[in-house]
Amino acid sequence: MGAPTYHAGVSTPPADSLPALYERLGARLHRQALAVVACPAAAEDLVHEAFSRLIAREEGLGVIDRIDGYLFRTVRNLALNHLRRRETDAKAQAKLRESLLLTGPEPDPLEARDEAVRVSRALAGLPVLQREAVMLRVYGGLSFPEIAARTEAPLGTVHSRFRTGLERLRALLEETE
Amino acid sequence: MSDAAEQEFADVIGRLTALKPIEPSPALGERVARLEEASEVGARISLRCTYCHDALERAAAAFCAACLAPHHRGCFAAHGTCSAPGCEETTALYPGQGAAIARPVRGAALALAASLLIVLGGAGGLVYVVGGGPPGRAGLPKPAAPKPALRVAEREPAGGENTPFEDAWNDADGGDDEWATDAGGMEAPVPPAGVQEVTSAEEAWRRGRDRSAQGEYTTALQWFERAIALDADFAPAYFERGQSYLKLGNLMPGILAFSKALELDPGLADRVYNKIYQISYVVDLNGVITELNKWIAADKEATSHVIFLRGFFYVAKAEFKQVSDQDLRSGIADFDRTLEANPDHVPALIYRGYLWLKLAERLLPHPDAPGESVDTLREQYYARARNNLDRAIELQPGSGSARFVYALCWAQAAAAPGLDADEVEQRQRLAVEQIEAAARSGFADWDRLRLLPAFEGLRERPEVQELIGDR
Repeated sequence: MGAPTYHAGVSTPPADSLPALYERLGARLHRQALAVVACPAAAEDLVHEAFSRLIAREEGLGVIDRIDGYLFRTVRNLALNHLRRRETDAKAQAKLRESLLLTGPEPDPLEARDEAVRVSRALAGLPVLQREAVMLRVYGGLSFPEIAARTEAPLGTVHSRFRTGLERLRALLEETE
Repeated sequence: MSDAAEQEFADVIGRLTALKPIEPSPALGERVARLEEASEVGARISLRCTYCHDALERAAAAFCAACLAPHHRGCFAAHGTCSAPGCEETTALYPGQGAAIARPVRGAALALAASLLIVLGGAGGLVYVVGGGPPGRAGLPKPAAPKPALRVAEREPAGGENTPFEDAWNDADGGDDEWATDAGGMEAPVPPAGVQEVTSAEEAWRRGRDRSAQGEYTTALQWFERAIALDADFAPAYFERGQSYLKLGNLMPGILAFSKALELDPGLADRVYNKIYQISYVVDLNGVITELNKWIAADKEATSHVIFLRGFFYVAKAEFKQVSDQDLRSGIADFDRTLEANPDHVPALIYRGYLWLKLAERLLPHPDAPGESVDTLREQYYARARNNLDRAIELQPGSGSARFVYALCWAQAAAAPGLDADEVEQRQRLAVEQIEAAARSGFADWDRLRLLPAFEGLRERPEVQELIGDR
């Protein structure tokens, strides 16, 4: 296995138009939301909501120093709020376990799809902060210090979430085999 | 340490990296792009004809002189009066060209409306003021309308593309936070004589209502402001203030005044909802919700009550059959938030129950319910609706609205597929019991019983016929 891709810093001049901003950040923001809520449709709604809040700011986009950081923080906060609301909804919990978070390579052979379902379910079964650490590292390509900054957690905690998450993921995957 | 973890769990990471996360759909990019577009035009609220509900161009509109409800010119003429519920104004205002023609009609409200429309008509634009009959019956020519009294006039762009509702809305939203006290974008008119001498909030409110009944909404507003100054917790004054703003076409402050009234007295919910329902005839509900989203996102004053009001707009969408599943769930979420803050909020319980009912009604086989029978899910939604209504009735046994929605719930459940005759009979009987309870509680909207398709199976029952016949 090669090392996960590493994405550079997030500071950007705030001059982008909204579509340009989305073009640049949309997929990563979606990934951030997906890591927390584990539901692609909800993640889309949250990204949309984050852009909606951005544009609703009376001061406009120009006064936000680090627009990327602002958007990632907003998406994460919205996602955590979304989760809190969903916690009490058993139906939504059941739906969460059915969500497909991952896809196989194209063209998508049947085995790859089965594998995507298995791994998606295992990921959805992780506690949210562990899932977030694992997904941001593996799919977001962030370094541990970057994950710590984004999740506002101590570096050691992030390492521990990552390790425990992988441990649990392995156990969950073995259960389904 | 975690490099070691990555080696230790190389098998797991290998399986993860062989897959990739689901990408956002292209539709999300389009949705975000539309946000910017909406923002550029201030999330304009488009007009619909109050009479036929079709879309309406401002240039082709006739605005009711009393409440500014927009109509197609032909629709206004065909109806003979304004078709907004509760308004029977026979005079319409036409933004147009040529000389201003007027007949001697209402004073202050007409002058305000006329001045507003003159400005909205763009440079050199003039206003026809005509009676409800054919344009040829217009009254005596009148010289220029009075100097515009609305602050919105000064902010109107040269293009003059806005509607009265849009400008009033934008005026309230675009300014500072003074909306709650500064007459929502209007310059303070001269206070009516004697306003300072009145020292009872109720007396000021009563006088305001008198002025309002005469169509003098600006003066009425001053009285309501006085009532609020005397008693900041006097909910009826906020409610009437909201009504006056709406009559003056000042939508946003009107809605927010309603939210304040609701904050002080949740018992006004039905009356406020009726107003929202009226508004729904003349504005695009999505536009209103977009504006409320912005308002809530900006975390302005009274957010929790605005959230409750936004829930109302989702209910109105459901009533107008313009609703998606997502809208229904959003409305439920708004009432969830209201009930988190106040678990005994009876109107929120009733409306949340109603939205669960609408969700059940729309339920079709859907990926949302993998491996689960749609019928089972529908029954679950009905059960959720009933849970909300049970709680509402427990808190307020005399609530006719709760009983009526409960009846609707059983009536709809009785029409669900796959029931045997006994089950249908049992559910219909429960619906009838709730209808009778609603009648005992003084519920008065019997047209709904006559017209709603959900009651179709019930209308033949003798006890229901008796009830309808009595009313």
